[in-house]
Amino acid sequence: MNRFTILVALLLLVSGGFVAAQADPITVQARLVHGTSKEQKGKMRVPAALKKKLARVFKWMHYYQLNSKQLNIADATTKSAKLSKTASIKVTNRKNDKIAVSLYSKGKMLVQKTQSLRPGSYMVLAGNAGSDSAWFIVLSKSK
Amino acid sequence: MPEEPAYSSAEEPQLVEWAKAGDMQAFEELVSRHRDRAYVRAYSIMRNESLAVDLSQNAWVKAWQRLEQFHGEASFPTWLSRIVTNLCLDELRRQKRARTDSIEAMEESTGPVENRMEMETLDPIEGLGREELRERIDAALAKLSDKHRTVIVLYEFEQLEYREIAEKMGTSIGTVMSRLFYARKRLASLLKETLKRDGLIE
Amino acid sequence: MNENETELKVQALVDGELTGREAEDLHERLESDDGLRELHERLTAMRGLMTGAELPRTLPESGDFHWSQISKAIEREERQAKHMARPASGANWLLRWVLPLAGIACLVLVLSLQQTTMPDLDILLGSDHEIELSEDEIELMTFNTGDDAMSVVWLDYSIDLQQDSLQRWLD
Repeated sequence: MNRFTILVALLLLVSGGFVAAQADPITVQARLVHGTSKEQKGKMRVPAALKKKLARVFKWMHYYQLNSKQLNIADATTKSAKLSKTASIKVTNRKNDKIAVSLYSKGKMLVQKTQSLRPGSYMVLAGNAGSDSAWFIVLSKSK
Repeated sequence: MPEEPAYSSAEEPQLVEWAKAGDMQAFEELVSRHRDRAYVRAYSIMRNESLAVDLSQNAWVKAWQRLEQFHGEASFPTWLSRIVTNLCLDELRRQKRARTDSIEAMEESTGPVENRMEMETLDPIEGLGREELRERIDAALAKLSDKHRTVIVLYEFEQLEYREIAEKMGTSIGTVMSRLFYARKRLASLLKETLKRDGLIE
Repeated sequence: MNENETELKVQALVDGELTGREAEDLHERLESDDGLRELHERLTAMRGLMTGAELPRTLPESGDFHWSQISKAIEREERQAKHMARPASGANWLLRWVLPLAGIACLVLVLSLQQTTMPDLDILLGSDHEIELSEDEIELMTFNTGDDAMSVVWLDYSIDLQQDSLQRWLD
């Protein structure tokens, strides 16, 4: 084996190692939800399983899905999603099953949260929305 | 593997027995069945949504702690209702509405004009449904003072005797009778006002 | 007492609180006294009106949330009761009084930072959670639910929920 071949073999080994360490692409669903005690006919409700989880924690009786985006994010990549006229998120696929979510309002970043997110669990950013209601951005990972 | 009891279809006495034995799911089912009633009773007295929610929650906690004292003399919801009522009365005492108390004291000693008016007649109203009547009565109740509303709620809704009301309110039977009489006359007067205003009677 | 004692007795008769000889005497009097008889009728009518008149209402929060508040309060009370039941030793007496007081102090601190809509949950921040705030230092609280099914960041900030209808068409 000549030096060139050895070098190529080493490169392949090393690159193979890097590939093994990289994160898999992920699919993240982001929902903008409005929690309120006033029923709003004609508005789409969140799925029952999500409602159950939210209702155990928060006091509102109704949870309406205002927007939903599915983001397919390759390793070490960031994808954006606009959830309302002025609110958007950026989601980054990080190593070790972690995602970083940044919330923007009117172009300004409010908060960034990084954590691991298992399929079946939720990351929630939330706050008051006036008239005794609340907004929620609910993120979940499907793979 | 033992089968989980069917809580939603269980009879109330059974649920109570299970809850007494420490079964929280049985107690949760009791809460689910009677939470509105507990809230309604608290709201009828307090006329404040968030206070009524808090007090009804506290009542459930107390009910759990005192379950061994419940022996089925009354129905479970009636027993719970008494706990709610007691907590509401404690809260009213705590709030110390001194100004209202002094006005009431004045009214009860000298009597406002209403006290000297005759008891209004309320004839049956054609077309006034039960639901609308309840709403009008509710609106009129909201205009009574705490003490007068409480005595009406305890007598008419909680169905306590004069003696029991006197014990709960920390007053004499004579005062209870007096307050009840005034409250009824005031309610009748308020109801008549709203019916006249809406053209349902002349 | 300003109300006529007899009027109050008529009320007691209507309410079933007057019995025996007193009730019989009053019944006799009603037969000949128009004014008292009319009062009796009006009070009876009023009682009839009030029967079942309590306006039904629905608890203004979700049943699940209501129950979660109740069950947490029960657990808290039981923990407190267990703690108080422990015999006090020289060092333990301090723990018996300091811990609950510290707990109350923490609760007061937490409540003073909370909005009225803030849920009442244990505050747990997992070791793999990182939070970065913007320069404006928006107040926030973070917590996980007990089963770690949900991690929440609650911001003291209201975002605009209005949807961009054109964008929805394009999406």
